[in-house]
Amino acid sequence: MTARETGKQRASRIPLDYFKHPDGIVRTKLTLTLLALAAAGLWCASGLFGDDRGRLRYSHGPLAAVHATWEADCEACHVPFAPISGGHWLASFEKPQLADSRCETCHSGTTHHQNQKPSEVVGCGTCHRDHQGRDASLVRMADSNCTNCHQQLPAHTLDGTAAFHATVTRFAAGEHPEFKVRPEPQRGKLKFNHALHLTAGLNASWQLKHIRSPEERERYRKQQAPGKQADQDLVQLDCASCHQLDGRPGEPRADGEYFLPINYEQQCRACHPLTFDERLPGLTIPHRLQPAEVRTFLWGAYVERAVDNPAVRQRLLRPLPLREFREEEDKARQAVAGQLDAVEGFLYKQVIAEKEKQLYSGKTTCGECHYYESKPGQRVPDRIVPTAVPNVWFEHARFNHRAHRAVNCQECHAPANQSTVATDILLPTMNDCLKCHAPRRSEGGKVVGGARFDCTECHRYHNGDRHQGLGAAARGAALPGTIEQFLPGAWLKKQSTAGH
Amino acid sequence: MLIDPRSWHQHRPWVLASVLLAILSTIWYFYTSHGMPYWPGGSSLPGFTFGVVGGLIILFEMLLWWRKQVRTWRIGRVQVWLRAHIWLGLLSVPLLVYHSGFQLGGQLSTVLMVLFGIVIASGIWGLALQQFLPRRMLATVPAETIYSQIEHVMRQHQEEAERLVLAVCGPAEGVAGETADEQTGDLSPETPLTIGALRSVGKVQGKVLLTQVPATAVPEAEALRDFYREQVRPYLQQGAASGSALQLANRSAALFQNVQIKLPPAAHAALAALEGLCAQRRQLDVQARLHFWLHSWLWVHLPLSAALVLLMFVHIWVALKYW
Repeated sequence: MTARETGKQRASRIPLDYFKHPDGIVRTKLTLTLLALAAAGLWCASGLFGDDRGRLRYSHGPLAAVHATWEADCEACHVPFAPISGGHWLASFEKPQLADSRCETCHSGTTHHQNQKPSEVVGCGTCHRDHQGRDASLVRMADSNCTNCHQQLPAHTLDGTAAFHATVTRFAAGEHPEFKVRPEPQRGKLKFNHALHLTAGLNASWQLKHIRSPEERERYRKQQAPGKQADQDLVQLDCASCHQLDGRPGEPRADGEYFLPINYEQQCRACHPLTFDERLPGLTIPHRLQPAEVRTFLWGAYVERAVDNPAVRQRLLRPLPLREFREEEDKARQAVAGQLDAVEGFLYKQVIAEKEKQLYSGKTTCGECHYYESKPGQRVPDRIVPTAVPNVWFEHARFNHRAHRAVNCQECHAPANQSTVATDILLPTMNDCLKCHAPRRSEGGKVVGGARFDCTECHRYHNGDRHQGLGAAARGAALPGTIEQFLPGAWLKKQSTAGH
Repeated sequence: MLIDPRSWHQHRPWVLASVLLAILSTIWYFYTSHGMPYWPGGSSLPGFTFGVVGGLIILFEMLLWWRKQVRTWRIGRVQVWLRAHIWLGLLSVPLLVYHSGFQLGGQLSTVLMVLFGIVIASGIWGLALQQFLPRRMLATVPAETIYSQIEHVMRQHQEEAERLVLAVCGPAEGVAGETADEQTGDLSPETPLTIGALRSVGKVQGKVLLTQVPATAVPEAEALRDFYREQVRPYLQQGAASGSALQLANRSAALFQNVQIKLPPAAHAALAALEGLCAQRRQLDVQARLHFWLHSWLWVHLPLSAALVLLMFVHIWVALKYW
């Protein structure tokens, strides 16, 4: 039986300097560590030899598609060692919004509101975060970016007042004000009866055959329901008969967000021709003339009719014989003109006066749709007020009709069928929108909501909507330049040549 | 590092602190993210703070290597450092995930996050191994020695076995190319025979005999020499790599029993000594295997940690330059 070695005996077999000679595991560990450091260093350094000098490798993430051209040019947007975001916690840093100058090379970013406290205007990068991937949106902001001010608006204005609703926290009943349409002076001046126009026959047994223009008759015939397209069928209008999106079918690159203004020639003339004399059946007064211009037109119409008389024309055209042609012709023309003036004054003054009375006081011409500016008892108004119906009724929001084309017009514009005056506001209320644009929920056993309801769904900060946005004093790039200036790196070259 | 009920009281403060910090960080982060369409990233206040703290933790984690390497750098006990290394390392996980805003970002930040994940996973794997492998080694390898000295120790054992066999069997006859003196080597009558380790007490060295060595060779003990040369010596020299049947305890016992039958009783003690050495070799083979598993995870953990630190500095530079 052999005796076991004790621990001390085992320890005495070990040379005292054993720790100076690492084993294979330790050597391998150290070798791998050196290799890993070398590999990491080489990987970093290798990027510097690329055309982008490694910027794609070191980038915080892929840029949105709209900025992808500058992905290898960090300083197209970034100022080195200056925060691009003007968040409040970075306010202690110098030049928190220095990077805005880079954004403003291409974007104007108009002022949100002139009553806004300048100290609370954050930098572009605070709201518009890039490096979120190609498909990210740079314009979808968090509601908190808006409600930071709008939940207590007076506290964030220069004079402590709020031109708008003082408290908005989200799009929900009780937390968002009811929609505000344009105030009265901006609603236009128009006389129109929706209910009448949406009734078959337009309440006057108006049939297709009553539309005089063959082209317009055919156009309205195609809009009729099948089986009701004969000449004797009553004309049945619907919303689309008059209201057309700003992108017509077949037209390329149409937005389709808003409806085109009603155009007399397109939507009204077929049934409301401005004829004025049965003896002149093909002649209509051009639209958009003021009373003085109408009178001139009428004079011209009747004079032309008179001049059209062959006997008169002959006297105008035939020169007197055996005399010097030009001198005699001039004298003859002056004589005829003088005669015409007398004839006009005698014959047409009365008829023009009658026609004017008919036009301005009748039921089928100007006064049918237009208001006048005139003194009491005045036969001919001083001015026909343009309708000036605004194209956009919610001036602080945007709406896309084409996105809602699957919904019947009257789901949102319900009172149209009963509206008899143009002063009726036939616009949806907030409750109409909340049916879809609210958190998904169950109501009465049905699931409602689910569509987006964040602030940027309907509102824009920079107010540059479609060129007619309020406050959009400047739109587009501050310095539109050549393609060379637009390419990546051009900013750096520009800065270097400018001595920055 | 063992984490068990007996050592829990030492880990508890670190665990509580790490959990508390993680909870507070989570609350702060989610409060900041409320109402935002995206998770706050490194440029937000909590994201930036977590990035700074996480980076400092990573640097501290690397300092453990220096603390263990530079033995004269006695700033705190290594055990305390290791506990801090474990729990702060785990704390860095939520901090750096929040710092990233749950996004991988570009190439550099993706590589960083992948490296970080592998480092954390390998560390957890190593910690898990440390919960049962050392105890298993303690139970199955009572003859444990220093890993790097296993072959050195076995060489000593093999030399001692050589002497023992020579002493029992005497010099071999007719071995080609070897004279009797060459076989005995330094086992001349003037050289004291030592079986076992030298034992020193102060300046006095003694010799310890593991077994009784016969004064003269035992007759009819050639089977011992043959068995030693064919089976035992290769196994003592190469261990499991020899492919010997001696690496299995039950087969080893059977082989030794077979040889014992053939040997005179006077040689049985020497045979038992050889069997003991083979048993020790088996233990040391087990120790080597366990030691490999207990330390090989560092082949992943340490190199990737070093690469992580290097890339982290690149990330810090780029992030601060273009933030």
